Amino acid sequence: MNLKFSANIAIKANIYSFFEEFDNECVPEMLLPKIPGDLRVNFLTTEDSLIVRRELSHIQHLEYEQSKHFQKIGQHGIAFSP
Amino acid sequence: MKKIGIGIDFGTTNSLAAAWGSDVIRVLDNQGEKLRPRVFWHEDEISGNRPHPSVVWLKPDDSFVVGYEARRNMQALTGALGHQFVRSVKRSLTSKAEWIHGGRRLMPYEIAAEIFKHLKQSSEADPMLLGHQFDSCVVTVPVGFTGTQRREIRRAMEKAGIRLQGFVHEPFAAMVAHFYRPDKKLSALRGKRVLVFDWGGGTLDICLVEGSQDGASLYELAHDGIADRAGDDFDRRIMAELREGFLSRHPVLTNDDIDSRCRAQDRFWLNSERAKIELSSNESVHVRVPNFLDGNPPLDLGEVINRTKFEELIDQEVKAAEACTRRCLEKAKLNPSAVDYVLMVGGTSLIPRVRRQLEEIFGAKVQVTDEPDAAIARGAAIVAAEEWKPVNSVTLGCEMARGEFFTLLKRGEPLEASTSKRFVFYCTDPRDGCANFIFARKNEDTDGTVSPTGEIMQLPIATERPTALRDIDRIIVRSSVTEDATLLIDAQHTGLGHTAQHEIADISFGLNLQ
Repeated sequence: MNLKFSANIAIKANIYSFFEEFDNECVPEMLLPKIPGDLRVNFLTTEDSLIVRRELSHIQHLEYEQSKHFQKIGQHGIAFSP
Repeated sequence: MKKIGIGIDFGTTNSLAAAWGSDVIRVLDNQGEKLRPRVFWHEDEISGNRPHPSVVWLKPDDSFVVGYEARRNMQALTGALGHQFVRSVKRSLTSKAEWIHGGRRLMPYEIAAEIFKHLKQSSEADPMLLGHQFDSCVVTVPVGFTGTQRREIRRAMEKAGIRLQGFVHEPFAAMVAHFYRPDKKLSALRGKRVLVFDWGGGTLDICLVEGSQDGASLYELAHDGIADRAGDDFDRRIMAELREGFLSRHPVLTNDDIDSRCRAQDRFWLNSERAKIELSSNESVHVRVPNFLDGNPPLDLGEVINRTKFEELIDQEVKAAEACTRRCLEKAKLNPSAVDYVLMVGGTSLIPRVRRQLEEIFGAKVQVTDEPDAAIARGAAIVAAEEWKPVNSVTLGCEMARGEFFTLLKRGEPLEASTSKRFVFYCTDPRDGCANFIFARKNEDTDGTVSPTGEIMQLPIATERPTALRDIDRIIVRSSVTEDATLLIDAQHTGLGHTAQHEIADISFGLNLQ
């Protein structure tokens, strides 16, 4: 039998930096669009779809919608969210 | 220009020093109109000027002998009580090898230091260096050398009492020697692409270099190489062929007889190497080794080897070298027609079969540098005298979220020990449990494509999902170029205090010509 295996793991860059340095320890608001959509919604106090659509960028909204198709950590099953 | 600059070609098989500078022009080798750096050869009675063999003889009286004398005695005394011979130490600089000598354990860098001391002493004996101190120099390194290997070379030089002025890649040095003119410097390389094919005794290095349009710098576009197929292996092929011929003439003898009764291994090896060199200009060579085998009477070896046979013996290696050349072009995304010059360097480049193979790819652009044995040392001396500094050739950085790229070391930045640069990074997604720094190169020459170097640094972070900006992990990153021309990256989590460190050693060298 000819078995072929392919990698099913990947490491993604999850860091961001701005070329100018922000002097204080506050994280700049400019970072918000760089956060994945399904994490970005945690920054909102509501999951109201209108507010979510308004606050998230197009790509973040897509990510948020797509994340609903994955099980979250702790849910039944072995797969967890990306 | 410095009054005098010294360069060292620290080779696997042979090493050589050369000098160049404003103060010494009047006594330099003068070939017609062309003034060239002075090379400090070993003057051999039989072969004339030869480079110094990179062989160190650890004698029973705790002294060291380096160079030709060590090599001459190597075969005869190898295995004799109290005698140790170290050859090709350049290949084992980072290995755990050690030698007991004079009641001390010697590391590979300490053996290399003896070679540097020998080069220093033999150069200082030259009248040209009278009144000058050989206390610093530029050293050449193969393209594929890592930061750790460069560090060992620096340690060896420190031990030999020589300050490292800088590193330069071997193909770069050879190219500098070939194209440099005292009046016009390297103006011939302005806007040109050169493929340097450097095949010596130990390694094959191929490097594609581009001169900037303003003539201010040289940048490496791509490099490739083979570490274990070179001139020394060709010597062994010839020796095996000659042994076979000898055994066919003496059918009662076996290989074991040769191993146990041969008392002329050193001359056999030297004559085989000489045969290889002569086959570049002669169709056939008669190799004679008197008293080859002990006995009553002793037996002589006398065999003829012709060029066709020799080319058959090295066919596989030449094809591997061709594949390596094509790979280098592919890396730079260039066709052979986009290369302006092809420069052949190193003793192995003199073999006609090697040249023919390159001419099949590049046609008439192929040139062989004058005195391929000395070109690298000459180039290093020019770089030292002109005080040209190594610079980074390809922008280095790391991938960021959303497919963006952050530059840590720009193309053209000097590759010299520097103060560190400070950056602030944020982790945009903590679900991996660590911040992933995926290092990459950015090709500024063509389309700005980013390609990962294959190196990654991971820093542990808090794994809770952030619900506000203040919860986002903040990381301070410091990057600096080390004195071994590597890029050192230090990261520290500002809240948790976790740290991570990574060193990028595979850096493409360029030269700042101003």
